[in-house]
Amino acid sequence: MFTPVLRASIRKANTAGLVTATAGPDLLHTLGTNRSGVTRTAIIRKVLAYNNTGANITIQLGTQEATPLFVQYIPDLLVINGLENVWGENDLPAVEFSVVNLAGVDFREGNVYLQASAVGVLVTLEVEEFGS
Amino acid sequence: MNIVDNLYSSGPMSPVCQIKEHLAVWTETKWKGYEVEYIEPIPRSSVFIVDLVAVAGVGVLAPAQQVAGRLLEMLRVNSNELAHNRWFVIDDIEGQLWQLSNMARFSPRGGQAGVNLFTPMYDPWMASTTFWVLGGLGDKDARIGCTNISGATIPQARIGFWGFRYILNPEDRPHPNARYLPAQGR
Repeated sequence: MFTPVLRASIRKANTAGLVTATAGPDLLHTLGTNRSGVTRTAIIRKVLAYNNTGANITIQLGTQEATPLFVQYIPDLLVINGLENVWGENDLPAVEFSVVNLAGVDFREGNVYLQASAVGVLVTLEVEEFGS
Repeated sequence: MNIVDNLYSSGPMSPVCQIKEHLAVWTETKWKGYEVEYIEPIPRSSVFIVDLVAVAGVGVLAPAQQVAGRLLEMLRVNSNELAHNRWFVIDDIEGQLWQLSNMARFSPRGGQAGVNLFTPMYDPWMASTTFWVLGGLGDKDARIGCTNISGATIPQARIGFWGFRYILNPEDRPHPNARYLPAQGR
């Protein structure tokens, strides 16, 4: 018996693929937009980060304001040097990245950005998108 | 239990009639009558999956980029044949259907609906994607296009089809017991 899916979603890798952190912010994922111009929302379900720079690095995940200015959405994650660092669905809060169509500093792009404390960490995501 | 003469009812796909029964097909703005001579299934198979990026020769599809509706070889049917199709997408795109070259299907006043990855979540047998193509109309029967709605540049835009093939005998007018179905929009 089919159970209606009231809030359907798809899971996918981040659109930017494997990203090497620069001074940042670095674009990790661009939200999909449907044919009538409505933007999807997304929840990060997995973060995989590798750090071989010789020192620990902290990373922040968030979006951008219009200026553009990075806006952090999820608390800092410590990417330990020499280790593959994985955060899954149980570890990450279900923060929903969404465009906010307000003017000025209240605008939110909704796309997922990375801000790292140092360059060189490698990051990929798995996201769950809603709304097409 | 699925009834044999369903058109769009949800559930697994089945023929709209049996062999030697009658159809009235709406095409070129009139009802044409046929007796069904033969029916065979077209199972979901690799041959009936198309990559619109490759067909259009564009290499990749940028975010929001479209592939205009185009006649697909796999959707062509011979004269006095009827293709009964459902379809699905494999990549994060939205497919659209036109019939008789430029008539938008699934198209209420508010816009033309399409098929995307979310469609089977609400309609797992894709009943709402059903369309018919009547052969012998100068290869203008059905055109498929798509839009990249993923937010990323994608290398493929794959769409697949399955259904049934009917061979028809034309009749002077629709039989009184004919099953009516549309092969174009209106």
